Amino acid sequence: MLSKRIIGAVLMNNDQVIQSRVFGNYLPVGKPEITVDYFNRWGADEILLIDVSRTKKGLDPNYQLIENCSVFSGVPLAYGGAVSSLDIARRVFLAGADKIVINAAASASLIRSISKSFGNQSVILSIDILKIGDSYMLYNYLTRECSAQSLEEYIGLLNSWGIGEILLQLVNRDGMKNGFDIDLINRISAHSDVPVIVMGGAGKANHFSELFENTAAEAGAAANYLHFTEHSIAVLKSLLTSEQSIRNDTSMKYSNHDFDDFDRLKKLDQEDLDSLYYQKIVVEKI
Amino acid sequence: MISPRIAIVDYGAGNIKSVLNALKRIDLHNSILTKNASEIEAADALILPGVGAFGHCMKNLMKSGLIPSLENAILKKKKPLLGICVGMQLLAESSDEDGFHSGLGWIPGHVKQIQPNSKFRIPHVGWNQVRLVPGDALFSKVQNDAFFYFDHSYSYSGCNSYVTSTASHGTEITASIKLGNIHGVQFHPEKSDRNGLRVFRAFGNIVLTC
Repeated sequence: MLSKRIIGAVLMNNDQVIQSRVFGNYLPVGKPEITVDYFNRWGADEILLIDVSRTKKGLDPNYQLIENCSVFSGVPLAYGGAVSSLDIARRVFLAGADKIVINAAASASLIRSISKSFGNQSVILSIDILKIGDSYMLYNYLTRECSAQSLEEYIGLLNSWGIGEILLQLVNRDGMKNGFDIDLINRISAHSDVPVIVMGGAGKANHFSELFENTAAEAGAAANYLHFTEHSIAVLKSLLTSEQSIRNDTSMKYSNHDFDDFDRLKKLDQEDLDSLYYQKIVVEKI
Repeated sequence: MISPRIAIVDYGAGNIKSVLNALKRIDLHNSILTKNASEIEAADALILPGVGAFGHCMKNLMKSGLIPSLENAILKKKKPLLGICVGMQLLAESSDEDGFHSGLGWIPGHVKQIQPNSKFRIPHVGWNQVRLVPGDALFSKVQNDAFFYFDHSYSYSGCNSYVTSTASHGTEITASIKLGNIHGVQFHPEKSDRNGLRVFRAFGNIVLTC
């Protein structure tokens, strides 16, 4: 059975990994290559490398950085940020990315030209939504303005462009750790022909369980939530209570461990710790 | 132990560097990327990658002028071949992606669209469990129902005697095919983490025992 995906998102500003809140309040986290390396080791199903600054600055993607990061990823790597032409897309793929994420530059002609050369599956269309009162509006992160276009109409349009997946972000919940917006996700998902990846609001393992139980989203992505705990993705996967299929292939198994209310690992009993002395772990060499 | 010369065919169809990286990661250091007919004929084994639309890839392969050398190496000299994703689909007789296109026809069967289904959306993207048909040495190091990464909207359909593993996505998806020295996998072993490396290792072993 197809597994629900846990995707590690690496947001970058000035070639540095950042944490963000409501698409702003950027604070440094560290180096992209190291983050990709750890996400890969900790069992990420995919990795999203998203540069939030290059389009604003009128810069092309940092191809060398993409290449440096791709070396660490044994799972698919998607890159987004200033992908505004077929030629740039080509260079991003050449640098080692498997998919590209398009946000600001999204247009029928760009998407169709990229799909023609690289296939529909290579394009993830990123949609940012801002909630104002009870209304959900399409949001442009460059101009910080909302569009009057209906969400349903926009999704219908995307269906006709030949995209592979949708990356849906709710701006309000970015970095707020208050859970995913289930209503919004169901609304978008109902109109999308293609798989939906959701990001924005992850704060507990339970949020992902709720996401997979209550929506048809095929993947949940997170940035902040995954940056500050050892083995974060492996721990998250061990804590998912959803009945959905989850791929859990690392040697980092936490199903026999106890966690506190904040999803933090409790210390093992002294007896268990003592039994770990002199335990030889044989690592498979492929 | 001599490392076999595995040539990855570069015909302008996708991210071949990650295939090379995966082979190097498991010390198959004698692997190369090639656009060159004589390098293809001299190789111990070949890998045919492929990403994107079938018609587009087939057109590129024909334009590369490499099909005669590939036929020589694979059909005549019976060197092992591993087709990946669209590289596997090209092995079939035809595909109906964006109109009818002929494939290489080295394995009987056709590539058809995966039936759209609101619960199982297309493309078939993500990690899916691969159910093995016993007897394919390519999976000698892999457990049954292991997860591999897929990303495609079209799937091989043909005689079951060529199908060596399947996955389920609302309908049955062919995950791998084999005919003699010719292997094809629909998933991306170069993007399937350690299970993918196990498949490449098994392919390396197949080459060594030739």
